[in-house]
Amino acid sequence: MSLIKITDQPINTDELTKSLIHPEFGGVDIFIGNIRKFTDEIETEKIEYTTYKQMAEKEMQKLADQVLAKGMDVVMVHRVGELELADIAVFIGVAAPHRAEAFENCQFLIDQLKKTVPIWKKEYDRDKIRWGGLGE
Amino acid sequence: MKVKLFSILAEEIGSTIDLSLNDGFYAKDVKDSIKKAYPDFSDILDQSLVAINEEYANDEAFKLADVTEIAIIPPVSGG
Repeated sequence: MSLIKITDQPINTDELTKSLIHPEFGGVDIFIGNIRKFTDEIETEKIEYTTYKQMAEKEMQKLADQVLAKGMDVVMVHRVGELELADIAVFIGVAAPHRAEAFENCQFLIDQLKKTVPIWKKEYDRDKIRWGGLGE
Repeated sequence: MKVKLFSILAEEIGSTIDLSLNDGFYAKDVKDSIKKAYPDFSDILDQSLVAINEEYANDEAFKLADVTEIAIIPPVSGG
């Protein structure tokens, strides 16, 4: 059963991982994105994520549908709100019959999510606030 | 017509803005009218997309009667 959602609650990676284990799939690939402290010399203190929720879930579903259509299972969960260092922001999991498809489609989903899903980060760095996607 | 704003635009301008749009408007018209009112945000608006009824708009014209929701989507940065 695929699961696609935006949540303001902490992401339970154990539960989501377990939901991807089925006898028909021999491989599960998982991408977890968490809040990083350093980007070169820039030190991040926290990140606030906001979203256009209804549209974001629709866009995530469109991406997931492309992978589901190939007979795999998909979990995509993105957290929004204020996240501290090391907090998990995103969980992408793909279960497939074989590992190559799992790797490839998991990468596809996170790469596309970063391009098309309306979620924004406001990064509180030690020197100033930076808005994701807008450069300096 | 109310237009939803997000990210830096919501923080600087507000979460919605009221615009008067003509029947058969284009996505570009939405951005242009906001630019007129808020020229300081022209650069961000140039980088933004427009969503009509929760779908990214392309170059098509929209009838007001078909539109329930308009939003400006600044460059996304999830993940």
